[in-house]
Amino acid sequence: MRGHFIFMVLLLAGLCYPGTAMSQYAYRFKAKFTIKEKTLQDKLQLTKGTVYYDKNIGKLVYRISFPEPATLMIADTNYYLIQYDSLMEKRAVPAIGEYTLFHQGLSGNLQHYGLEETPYKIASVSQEDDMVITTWIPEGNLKKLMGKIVMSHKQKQLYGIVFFDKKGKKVIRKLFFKDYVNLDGFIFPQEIVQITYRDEEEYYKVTTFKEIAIDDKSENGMYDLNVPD
Amino acid sequence: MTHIKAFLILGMCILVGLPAAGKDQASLFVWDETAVDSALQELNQLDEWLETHPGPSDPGTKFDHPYHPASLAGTLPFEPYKDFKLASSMAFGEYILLFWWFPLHRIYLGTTNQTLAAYILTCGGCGFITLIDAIVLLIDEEPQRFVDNPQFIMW
Repeated sequence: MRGHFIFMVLLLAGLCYPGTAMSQYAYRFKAKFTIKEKTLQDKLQLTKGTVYYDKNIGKLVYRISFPEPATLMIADTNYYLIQYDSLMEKRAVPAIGEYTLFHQGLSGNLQHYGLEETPYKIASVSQEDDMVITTWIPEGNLKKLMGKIVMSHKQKQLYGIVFFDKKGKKVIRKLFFKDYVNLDGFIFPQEIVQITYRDEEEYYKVTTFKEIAIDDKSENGMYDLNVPD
Repeated sequence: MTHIKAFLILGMCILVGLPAAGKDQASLFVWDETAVDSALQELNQLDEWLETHPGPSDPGTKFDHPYHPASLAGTLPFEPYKDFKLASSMAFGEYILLFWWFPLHRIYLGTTNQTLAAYILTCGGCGFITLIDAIVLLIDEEPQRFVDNPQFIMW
């Protein structure tokens, strides 16, 4: 009887262990972001603000504070630009919500960048130094549009992704994920470096996230933002 | 016997070739962190400056006053602006020279129609009021009090 009681207590403790519970049920992401970019036009660009995403609502909201105040929102297949409490622009965009890093992170799919849910399939896996390298190839009609993707993991965390052109010969983009933070089981990179290759030139984009919060309830309205008329 | 030799040679090639292929894949993930930092150096400086000079508390609304450093961002390049008061005074100097008779600053700050009419009718108090407005806006510690100020002489 005593044994059963101890077993039940241990079982309950295990079920309530925050690491497991939080990672399974995290549904909101909030962070201050900074994007530093050297664009293809050779311009330097800095953007700062706060990003909000609720997995259940599916609205992605960027509240930009620099260079000028603006709120960008992507909800379903619509993009909205809101400035000074007025809707400045609305246009149709592909539904990217579920393919964002935030959704993948909240769903626990960040390790494979969500590729498991696409027509990409694993072609090979190898171990090299401290990295596990996986090659993904597109299947079906996607072959005509996309090239292979090579992904590396360090200590079971996504480290880099290399995108090839559709012929699979030329590298067109590289992504590196750094400085992971672990918030009660929710693991997310605090820095993402993107290198784009075009005409023998390299272009850089560095995105950093600070003050990452999950399941934040202090700004409920930002996760389900209403579009002004 | 020839087949066995060919098989052994093929096996050796595969054994030697596989790690080499693996190395090729790993080299894809080597990148020059210094090159990225160097290319974005000016942005890093600007970012550092912004960290110590935060923007408006509620970025979705209008700035508290028109000379907030963030409102100058569009007019300045990416290089960090050392002193926003200096930058704004330069911008304001140009404004006074060209539009000393027009109360653009009062429209921006917000005031009554009567005050605007008085400014236009008196050419901004013969230009003196506009000039003093400019100086006061630049040196005043609490420019917030000039927002939506109905007085003809706002200071």
